[in-house]
Parts: sequence; structure tokens; C-alpha cells
Amino acid sequence: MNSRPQRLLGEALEFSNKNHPEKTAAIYKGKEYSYSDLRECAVNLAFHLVNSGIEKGDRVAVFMNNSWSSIVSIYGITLAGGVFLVVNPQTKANKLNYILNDCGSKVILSEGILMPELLRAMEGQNEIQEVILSESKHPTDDENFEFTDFEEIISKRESASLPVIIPNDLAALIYTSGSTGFPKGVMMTHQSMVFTSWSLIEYLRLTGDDSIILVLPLAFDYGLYQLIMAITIGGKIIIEHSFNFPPTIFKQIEQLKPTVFPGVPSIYAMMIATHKKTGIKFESIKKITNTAAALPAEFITDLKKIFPNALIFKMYGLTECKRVCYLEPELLDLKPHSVGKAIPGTEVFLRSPEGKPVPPGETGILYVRGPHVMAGYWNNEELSNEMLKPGLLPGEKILCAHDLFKMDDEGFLYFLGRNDDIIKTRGEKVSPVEVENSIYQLNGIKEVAVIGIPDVILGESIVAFITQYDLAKFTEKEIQQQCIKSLEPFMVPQKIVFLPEMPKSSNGKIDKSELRKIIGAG
Amino acid sequence: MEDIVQIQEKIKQFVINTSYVSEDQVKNDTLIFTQGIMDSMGFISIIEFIEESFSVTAADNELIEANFESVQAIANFVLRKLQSV
Repeated sequence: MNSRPQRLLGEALEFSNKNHPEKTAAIYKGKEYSYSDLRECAVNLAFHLVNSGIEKGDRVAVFMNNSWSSIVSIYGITLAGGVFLVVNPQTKANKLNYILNDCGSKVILSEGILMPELLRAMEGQNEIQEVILSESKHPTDDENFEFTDFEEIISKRESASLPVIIPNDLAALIYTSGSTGFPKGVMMTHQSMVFTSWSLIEYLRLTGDDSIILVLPLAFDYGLYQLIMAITIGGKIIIEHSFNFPPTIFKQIEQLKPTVFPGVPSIYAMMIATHKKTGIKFESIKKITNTAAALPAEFITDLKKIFPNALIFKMYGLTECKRVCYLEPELLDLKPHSVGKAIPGTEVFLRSPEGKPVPPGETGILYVRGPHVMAGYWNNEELSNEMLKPGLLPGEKILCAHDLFKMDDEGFLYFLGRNDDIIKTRGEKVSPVEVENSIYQLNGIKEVAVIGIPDVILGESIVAFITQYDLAKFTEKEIQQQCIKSLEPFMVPQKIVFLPEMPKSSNGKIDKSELRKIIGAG
Repeated sequence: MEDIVQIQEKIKQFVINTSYVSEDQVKNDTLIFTQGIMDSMGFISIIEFIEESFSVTAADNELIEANFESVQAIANFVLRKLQSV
């Protein structure tokens, strides 16, 4: 064992490699990669990045599907002292362009299949000095397009010296939807991410024998931390692109026998539907986890049949501090509606809108205190100040989650709702403004208002209310097709309601509470 | 029995109707799951659709991506099943 404590994200890989270089770190498309493979490839990439001019604190974007290349990229960037940001591969050009401009990424790592979108996103971009492409065999029409080959970089060693990083340095930007309609980069330092990974490992009771199957995108912090935890404990990660084709995942679980399955309610709903038809059952799984949207209590009975040997962890969090709380699996039946207590090493409390303490059983705004709280939003002090508030000590910052909770007399938390407009669907945050802006691009749209309404499986489903000028007669389908041009699939409204007139409040603003009544969710 | 072109067309229309993409975004060889046009719920709906429309039931060992990755793959699978009856 090491006598040196882990201070930096990349040290997890160094330590695990030192302890058991031959052990399998990752499985992707049937191929096993050892810790020494991962370290070797990540170091090769790190040296290349340094030689390309990446300095401590420079942002490097990863626009890839979940893959071996994406995990090598994350560790390569962090070893080079860079700040990684993983962008969801379903992101469309205009949003990708916004993110690349916002973070000022000099180098971008991507893959051949995503080239069409990437090329469109890079139009008018001049900060990007290098594009590194994995599986670059998909040709582009542009013969002058220059890129470096990812597989070549990770297979040969250049010489370079890596910068000295300290725990206060930035490790990652995690982009999340904002109420302004533009995504915001959550700044996470090394010390924050190292602290958080160990806090999660502790309560999830993970060990080096655990093997985690990843079907969630690495761009989503819930997915990213599965990788970080697996590497930190010296366990194994089985990397899958997505859960889109479930039978493939079911076969992988049967063959590779992972012990941990992290999911969200829409995934569990699909598994339950399959279980009722075919009786699927996964005995190797020892732990399943849920976050992003509340796990409906009625799922529990079926989940226990699908995963007969698993502990079920209900959790709640937000990207700005990664995770807030979890419920000990032994208390699942005792506290069926609670999301538990603060994760180890952190604390939470509830305050009234005036900032006063809230007694047990009453509604309050959730505040979070601990080393897991973000350093702020990249390039956005104003929005940072809306979330980070003065803490208990002079100069300290605590996180105001803007979520409404109550706490019982034993300190268990109950989620009641949000106090902003952001929609949480399929575990992802969606800004109504972003969806509204996309629909406004259609000629003939008068007014648009987008809201989230409660949905057992999705957490919230998205509804768009639209008024049109006389001549324009769009159908629901046409509106959805417009959305998919600029938005990720999870942001497309499930339902479009056409109204003759928008309900307005006395000051002329669209009255969203009236819209909720129209749809029967008021 | 329907021919391959008719089967393809039916499946393509189903994919277009259940997802949000437009006509020109789904070709017969578009990888509908890899590209995120269909997700896990879409997968269930496809299985139900081919059962209802063609009376084709996929056995457990046939639920592989190669049989469902595109409109063409699904149509070929349906045709094979129909011919084997």
C-alpha cells in the first residue's frame, strides 16, 4: 500500500497501477485493459498534450462516446495538468460551439463518427489549435482538415516534463443546463473531486473487488464518477455506449458479472418491463444506485426480484456539489420516501427564504456545506453568486441548492420540489429557455412557454405551450423535429399544446402556474 | 407476403413517427440506436410493432444489435422470420 495520501485525481491511477499493474481496469467492446495499459496510454497522451502547448489549467474538451479512448483522454488530460470537460456526444453543433467558446478549449479530443457535428461546431472557432481524433477512418469532405491520430499518440512515448499540480488547481469543468438557456461550466478542483470520490466510495462500501457497469454518459457527473471511483479503488469498469439497446447490456451483465449497476428511473422502468415479460434476473449485482429523479417506491419490489442480491441506494444530488445525500439501503423500507442524510464528510441544513433556520417537518431551501461544493461557474461570477452563499466561517462559501426539502426529527431529508424553472428529466437538467429558443426559430410562432410536469419514469416530462400567428399551422411533430435539430434528444418536449392565447399574469409575463393547471399538473 | 421494400418502408415510417427525426434523417442504413434516434423505450416499441404488424416474435437469442441496428437490419430480420414460417 501507499504511505502517501491521494491529493490529485490522476494519482488514483498512479496508485492503483503501482498496487496491481496487471489487474483489469476497464473492459470495452470485449477487450480487457489492465491498469498498466491505462497508465501507459494516459501518460503518452499527457506528454503529447504538454508538447502541444497545454499548460496547467488549460481546458481540453472530450467530445466522444463512452469508450476506451474517452477514459484514456480523461486521465491523460488530468496527468498533463489540463482541465478536462466531457461533452455529451449527442450535443448539437450550436451548443458545442457555445461550450468550446465559453471554456476556450485549445485542444479537442473526439472521434471520427462525430466529425460532421464537430466540424460545424468549429466554424468560426480560432482558439482550437489541435483536434485529436480516435477511430478517424470516417473521412470528412474537407481534405484540408488537419487532425492528429489518437491511437498513434497513445501508442508511443514522446518526451516531456509534466507540470506540478496542487489540490487547489482545477481538474474539470462539468457543463450543466442553466436557467438563462446557456450551459454553465461547474468548476471542480482536484481536492474537491478526490474528496467526493472517497466519500462516495465509503458509503457505497466499494472495494477493489467491485466491477461497475457504465451505461450512463461520462458527460453526466453520475457517469463520470463511476469511472473515477472504479479507478480509485482499483476495481473494474465495464464501459458501454448507452442503455439504448438493452439486450446488449443484459448479455454483458450475464457474461461479465459486474457487481455494481448505476441507473436512473427510466432505465429501471425499462428493466422492470422486460422482467415482467422474460423474468430477467441479475444475481452478480451487489449494489444498484439511483439518482437524477426520485426512485418511485413501487419500483422497489420489482427491483428486488431483478437484483435479488443487491443493496438499493437512493441518492440525490446536483452537479454543483456532485452529490448531497443518500439513504442507507437497510433503511429503504423504514424511510421509503426519504433520500437520506448528507454524504460522509459533509453537512446539509434547511433555511427559510429569509435565511432563518427551519424546524423539523417544515419546508425549507436546501444548503450544502463541505469540500465537495464547486468553486463556482466558469466565467460567470453573477450566476456563481446566486448559488454560493456566505458560509459559517469568514470567507467560506456554502451551496444554496434552490431545491425545497423538509427534514424529519431524525435528520432524514425529503425532496419536495424545485424553486426555479429548471426541468430535470431522465436525470439531465433542461433549461426551458433553451427549448423555447429552439422553437422560436420557426417562422410563425408567436409565443412559447416550456414547463416540466411530474412523470413517474422520467422524473419530469417536458411540455411546450405554443401560440401561433394565424397563417402558421405547425403540428406537434414539426415542433419536435425543429427541436431535435438543435437540442439533445432528452430535451425534446414529449407533448406540445397549442393554445389560442397564452395566460398572462398582471405584469404581462406568461403565467406558468396557469399552464400547469391547463395540463392538470397544477 | 410483403416484399422487403414494403417492410422497410413500414418500419421506417414507424421509426420516424415514434422518434422526433424527420424523413431525411433516417436512411435505411442509419444506425438508429448508435445515433440515439431510438432509445431503450424505442426498442420495446419496435419489438411490439413487428409483433403487431408482421406477427413476428423475436426469440431471446435473436435480440442482438445486428438484427435491430437499422431499418434495413430490422426489415431483413422480419423477412427471414416470415420466410422461415
